[in-house]
Amino acid sequence: MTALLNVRDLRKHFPIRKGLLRREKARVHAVDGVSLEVQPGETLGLVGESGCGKSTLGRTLVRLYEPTAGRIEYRGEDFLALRGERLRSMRRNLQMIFQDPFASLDPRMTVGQVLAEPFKVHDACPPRERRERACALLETVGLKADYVNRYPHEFSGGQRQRISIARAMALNPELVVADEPVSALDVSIQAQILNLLKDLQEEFKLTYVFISHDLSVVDHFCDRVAVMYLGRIIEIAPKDELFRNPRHPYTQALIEAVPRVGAGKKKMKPALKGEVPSPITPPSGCHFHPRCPMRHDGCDRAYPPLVEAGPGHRVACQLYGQAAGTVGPAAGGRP
Amino acid sequence: MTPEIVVSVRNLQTTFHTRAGPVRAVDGISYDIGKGRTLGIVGESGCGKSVTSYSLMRLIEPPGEVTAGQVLLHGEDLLSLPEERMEDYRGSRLAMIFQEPMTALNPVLTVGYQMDEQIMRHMGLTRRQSRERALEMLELVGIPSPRERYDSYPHQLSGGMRQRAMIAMALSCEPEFLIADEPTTALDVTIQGQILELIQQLQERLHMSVQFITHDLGVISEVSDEVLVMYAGTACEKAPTDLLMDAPLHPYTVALMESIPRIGRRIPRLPAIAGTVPSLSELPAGCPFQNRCPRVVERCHAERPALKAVAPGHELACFNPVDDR
Repeated sequence: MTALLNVRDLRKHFPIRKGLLRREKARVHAVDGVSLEVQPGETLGLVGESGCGKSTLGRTLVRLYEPTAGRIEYRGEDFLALRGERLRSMRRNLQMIFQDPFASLDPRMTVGQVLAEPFKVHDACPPRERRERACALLETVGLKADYVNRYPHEFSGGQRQRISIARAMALNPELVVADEPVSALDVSIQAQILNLLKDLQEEFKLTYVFISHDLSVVDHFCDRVAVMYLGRIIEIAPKDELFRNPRHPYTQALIEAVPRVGAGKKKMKPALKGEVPSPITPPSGCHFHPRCPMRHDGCDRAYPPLVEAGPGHRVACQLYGQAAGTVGPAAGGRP
Repeated sequence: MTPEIVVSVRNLQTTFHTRAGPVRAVDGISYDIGKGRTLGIVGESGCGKSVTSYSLMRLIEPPGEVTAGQVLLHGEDLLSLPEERMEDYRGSRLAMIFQEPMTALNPVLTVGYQMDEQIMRHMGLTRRQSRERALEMLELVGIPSPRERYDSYPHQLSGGMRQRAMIAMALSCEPEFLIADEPTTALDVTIQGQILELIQQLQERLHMSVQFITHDLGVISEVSDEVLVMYAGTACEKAPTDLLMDAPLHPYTVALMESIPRIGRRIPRLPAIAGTVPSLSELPAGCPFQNRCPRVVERCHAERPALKAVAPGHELACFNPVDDR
């Protein structure tokens, strides 16, 4: 099966310019060499803490940001080489849902206008049918068709997120990048939206890239999970494997740090010390080494490549052998 | 052994006078918090958990108003104190930390200056002495190089460090009662763990009573001795944490716990709670949860259930509780 999306060594750097001549003084290495594949019909989760580059990666995948370097193939075709009309028509297949349903809808447009916009931009249906299509979309996402003349402020957060989802669905996309789509919602509404996204995936055979900082949501919703730290993927695996058998010390700490319902009051013990360093000047070698409890000689020298740690399981850590297929800590790798 | 009661909230009612008429954001809440204990208050947006906290601190401003009830701190009613006395108490006997540290920190003053102001005001120290105290607190909350940070402006600190600075400021006068309103919601999960540990260590050291507000059931489960579940301005259920997590009785508590994803739980769909929280200005007569409740009975439409003890320490406001488990 060919991958829907094949990403090779993708980089997105943001220059920091200062002074009269706006010279580039430094760079934010938001995404710094990411390679991954997304298979048709699957849900790939991207997790990590703020500043790890998960949102930048999501936006670069749909070319809301132009990458600094790297390659994106969409169904085997060089997506980054597309220009003009070809790019525009390709964009129909790639849609995005954002975190903040208050910021992502134009307050001066009625819901009907918001939902007619994609049809207008892509000239996807005759003008007189647009309203009808908008009503149908509202029903698809579980809202009443007669909401079509209302303005975004008349809706609750959950309803607005449904409208954003309806907009993303308008042109029958193949791939939807959902950036923290439930993070701003209350728990009871969060469950409704996650169920809606699942239903739509089944009905329209969608592929999702699901970005979230919430590991419980990712474990529930995704098929595979990629963990990011300072612009790079440090571990990627099918979710059962990742949550049962996390290899990277960062992934282990991240999972351990999730507060568990019903665990009972306990003595808090932070899973990690320190904070995520700046992506402007990331630490040398493995970016995680200053916080890593398993750090040893050499971690500050070379960045470890992603190596095979099991079926579909890859990890970037010195603890694991460099040779493909080697599982477990490398011999003599630890002090 | 029951610890000495530090805070006792009696039938608190806070009303916002809006153009659409009076809205009861908090409607008859009562609870006690013992010395050194943590009460978690959990609920969704608009349930009144933050308004409850602001009411306790007497920080409700018009059009809002505390319209009934008592807030007793060691038996003294804070709601009937003159404002000057309340100012003496705020920051010294009771303190509050917020989700967004910039709510509490002034962006144009250095961290040290703000801490000094409070310490001098409440502890009657000189600037030199209060600087020592502020540095001690910054060190205690784990801020690296406190001397430099003392002269930093809030925006020069990271989110986690700002949260620590706010905690240092709130606890600099060793309050006996701390209200923590979603203190870790804006933080990354590994930083959240660090801040929760910090609050817990300081609580033990100062024997503080803590009211911990959050929408996160995982956090509440790990930090609280007792949990109060709120819905639409009212209390649904209150119980010791283990009991509430193991055997919740209120249909809302049960539904809330069912609806959250948990690591390792394999279900294709989450049992979501249908519908949305009703607007506080259009609350139906009777139980506020009736329109979303799977166990609704005739009586729920007519009468509002009161919070009543059903077992030692377990209080419930429901006519048809979940008992089949």
